[in-house]
Parts: sequence; C-alpha cells; structure tokens
Amino acid sequence: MQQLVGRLTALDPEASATLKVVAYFDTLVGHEVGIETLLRGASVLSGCPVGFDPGKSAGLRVSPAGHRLPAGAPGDWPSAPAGPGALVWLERSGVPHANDAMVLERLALAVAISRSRARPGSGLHRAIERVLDADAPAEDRATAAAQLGLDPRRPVRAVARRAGQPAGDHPSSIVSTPFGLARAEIVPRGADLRGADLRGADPGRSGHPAANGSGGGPGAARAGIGPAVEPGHLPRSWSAALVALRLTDD
Amino acid sequence: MPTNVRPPYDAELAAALALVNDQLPATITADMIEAMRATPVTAPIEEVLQGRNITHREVTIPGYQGFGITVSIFARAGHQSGPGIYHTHGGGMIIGDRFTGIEVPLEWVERFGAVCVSVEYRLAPEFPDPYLIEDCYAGLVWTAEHASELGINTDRFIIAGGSAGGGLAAGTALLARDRQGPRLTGQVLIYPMLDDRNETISSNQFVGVGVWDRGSNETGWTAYLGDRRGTEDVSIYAAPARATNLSGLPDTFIDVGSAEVFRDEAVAYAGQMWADGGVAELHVWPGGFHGFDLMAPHAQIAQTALQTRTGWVARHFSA
Repeated sequence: MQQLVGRLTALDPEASATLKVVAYFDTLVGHEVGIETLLRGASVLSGCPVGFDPGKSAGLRVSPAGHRLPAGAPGDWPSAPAGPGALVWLERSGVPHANDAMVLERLALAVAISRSRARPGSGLHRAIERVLDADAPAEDRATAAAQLGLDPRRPVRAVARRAGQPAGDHPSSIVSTPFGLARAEIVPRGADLRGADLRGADPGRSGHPAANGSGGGPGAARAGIGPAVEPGHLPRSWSAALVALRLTDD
Repeated sequence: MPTNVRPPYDAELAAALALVNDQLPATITADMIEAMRATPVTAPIEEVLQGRNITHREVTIPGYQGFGITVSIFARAGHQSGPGIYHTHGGGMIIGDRFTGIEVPLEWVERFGAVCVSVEYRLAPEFPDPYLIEDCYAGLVWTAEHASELGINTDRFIIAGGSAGGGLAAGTALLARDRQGPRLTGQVLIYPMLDDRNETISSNQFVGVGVWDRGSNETGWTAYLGDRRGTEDVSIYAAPARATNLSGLPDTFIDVGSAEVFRDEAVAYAGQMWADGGVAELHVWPGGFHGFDLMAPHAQIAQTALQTRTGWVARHFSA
C-alpha cells in the first residue's frame, strides 16, 4: 500500500491532480500545521526536496521521505515568495513535472499564512479569523472586533475574494473556509466596492509578491460581498460573502 | 451501534488520507476483491530491493495438507548468522502477497543482520479458514526446521505482520504455543486484525471513512469464516481476540492508530496479555488511520511510529 501519496506526481496534471494539491494544502492550513509539515507536504507531492528560506533566520530543507536535509540555498531552483522576505523552492532535477508550479504556489501561500499566524504582535490574521467565526463565543468576537478597530455599532461588510488576490486597503487575511482558502476583508458599509476595493484586487496596481501566479487575467477582481451588519454579526455577512464568491466561479 | 463520534485524524494524515482514498476506498465489498487483486498497490519487489544490500530467493515449501506454497527469503549479502523474522503479510485475508508491507521487516534485515522469511499463504474466500492460518503455521515450522541452513540463530526468532498479517501472526503464535511447535521469542503485531465480531466501539466509529472501515472488516472476515463469522464456531487461531488465555506467549509489541477499526481489539489484546502475566508493549498513535505508517511514511507521526517499532526490535534482538 506504500507510495500511494507519492504517485500523485504521475497523475493527470490538468484535472483532478490540481484539485488534490489544493485540497492537500487546504487541509494542512485548516489544521494550522507548522512550516516543516507544509514543506513535507510539498516534497511528498512533488517527489523532490523542498526548501524554505525565512530571510533572517536559518532555513529548512526536507526530503520526500519526510526527513530534514542540510540547509541550503534556493540557487536556480524554481522558487516563490512566501510572505515578507521569505522564499520557498522546489529542487526538481531534470524535466519539471506538470504539477510543480501548482505545488510551489500552494506551498508559498500556505507558508505565508502560517507565518502571518505565528508573527508576534501582528494578530491581524487571528482577529479576522475570530471575528468571522460563528462558533467563537460572542465575547471573543467582540474582542477581535475591537482589535480590528471596529465600532460595535457601525455596520461593516465581510468581503470574500480568491486566496490568490492581494490585500486591498482594508483589514484582510487569508482564512480557511469549507470551500478552501479565501481572502477575507472587513470593509465599512459606505466603502465604494466598485471603485477603490476592486482596484485593490488588481495585481497590476500593487506589485504585491502574491504567491498565486494566476492572480491576473479575467475574473481576478471577483469578490463576494456580504450584507452590512454590526461587527457582532460578521459571521453571517461572511457566510453570505462566501456563497456570493462561489456563485461568481466558473 | 455505528456512530459519528470518533477521534480526529492527525492533521498531516488527514491531508494524506484524501489522496489514499482516491485509490483505496474506505469500504471494500466482496465484489471489489477481484479488481483489487488485479491492481497491485505495492511496488515490484525488484524496485523495493533496489539500492539495498539484500539478497532475495524463493523456495517452494509444503503448506497446509502438503500443498506447495512459496516463501521469499531475504538476508544481507554474505549473511552468516543472525536473528530470524517470520513475516505474515496483510491484505484483509483477501488481497496482497508476501511482498505487501515487506519494507518494514526488510529494514530490520538491513539494520540488524536478520533473515526474513515471508510466506505466500493462500487467500480467502477461495481458501477459507483454516487454510490461511495453517499455511502460515506450516511456513513457521519449515523456517524453524531449516533455521541453521537459513542462517537463523533461533535464540532470537520473531513473528511479525501488519493488519490481517498481524492477526495471522498472533494466531500462528497461539498455534505454536498450543502445539508445542517452534519457539518464538517475540511477536510484532502491527495494527492487527484480531476480532471477527466487529462489535468494539472503534469498529463502530469508522463507517465509510478512513482505510479498512467497518464494512471492509465485515467483508474480510466473511470471506475468511463464511457463515461462522460472529458465531461460537470460530477458533482462537482464526480470531485471536477470542482467546481467553494469553499466557505462555512470546514478548509482544503491538501498535495501532487511534482512528481505526482495529484500535480497541489491539488494546484489548495487550490488556489480556498483561492480565495473564505476559510481556507486551502497546502504542496507540493518535489520529492514525489504518496503515498510516506505510501509506504516509513522510508524516511526522508515521516516522515516529516506525522508529518506535524498529526500536523495539533492536532491543529485542540485542537483549
């Protein structure tokens, strides 16, 4: 029964395998695993060593068997930015596999999320996650709303975008949802969502080192916009925003 | 009664399980046996042996009622003498061959200079109980009788198997005890399939999820025992969980995942061994699905489980 997982590399690159890569990383991100676990995932999915360079501290390399390898440098390997100053890479020798780009992209995204969660002092990610979480106690959501600077009586909307889209002008973060990863943004009721915010989703404007190379092109600016609610009811707005985002999908 | 309350999968294993289930459905039914046999899930043995300093030869030996069965013999090149491992493979009593799960004992051959004999017992439902267990026992007797020419020092002679192979290993050890047969010094029961009754809490917790769920377990045991499954007419050698006296058995290692059907029967078997004054080491890996160490060997918990098991063998062989 061995090697079932590693065989993903041999699967059809276009259809099912892509979804499997996405689902694999979504599951890991949903469980809030650490960076080494993410690297092991990318390594087993691609069948080659994978590396991580956090920029300032020591890096990490792992083998497809899940073992740590001596630290190394990205060199000329295919790489992707994984949050501020950080890089992940994939050490493919010979002909690239059809899924390499997808694995690298999802790894970069997952690592960026993991790091933003772990970053001390930031707290933005956790606050957004908490304020949208219908299962969180009301007091916890109120605390998170306060951390985000939201007035308990001033209505706001939750806006859902695809995970690969860059941040706009309002507090936002990538969160795990029942439908996979998505970017959640909290905007005031009066915000002009057809103007500034959609420009914010335009990759041409920001030059943001988004890990998702497919951020551009038609449909890049698609967003699901939830109803304006008091911050205490953001989970309802978020749930509607997610449904709306899914309706925009092909 | 089947329930949806169950321990969660380990995060890394949960991600891997989705891929595993693409190729191996949770529920295996009788009509799927033929197709599963036709689609090997194990790498060819030549591939497994590549880059290892291990020789492989095959011998036909007398099985149950003298029928010829094959055993594979693995040893390090230039082997002289060392511990013995008798391996009974897994596959729910219905699928698999003597190379299924062989990576595990091969590592012990390589690291500890042991000799591994892996038996190709006949499979259910074509060959129901007692063919499987008697083929396994015949292979054990043959191995013990040929120990010196195989380079096995029987001072250290263990039986090992995973899943159905764990159940067959336990049953073979019981036969060896009760027939005053070959003297085993250890048994390694890897998430063993011990209980045909399918009545434990864990056998009710995994229905349509994971690897080898409740329905698969029913399929395997029914193929093996037919109408006798779950009745009083089942021997302790076919279903070792039915044994009420586990004294006089070799030192035992048992490991199992917390998120699989076999959890409770594995735990109970260790408990009965202790009750009867035996020596048993038990590991329950949290969030492990059935066969997680083989199917997701990259996962951190799989690595820990594999190291722990190999560590037991190392201690046993050096004691």
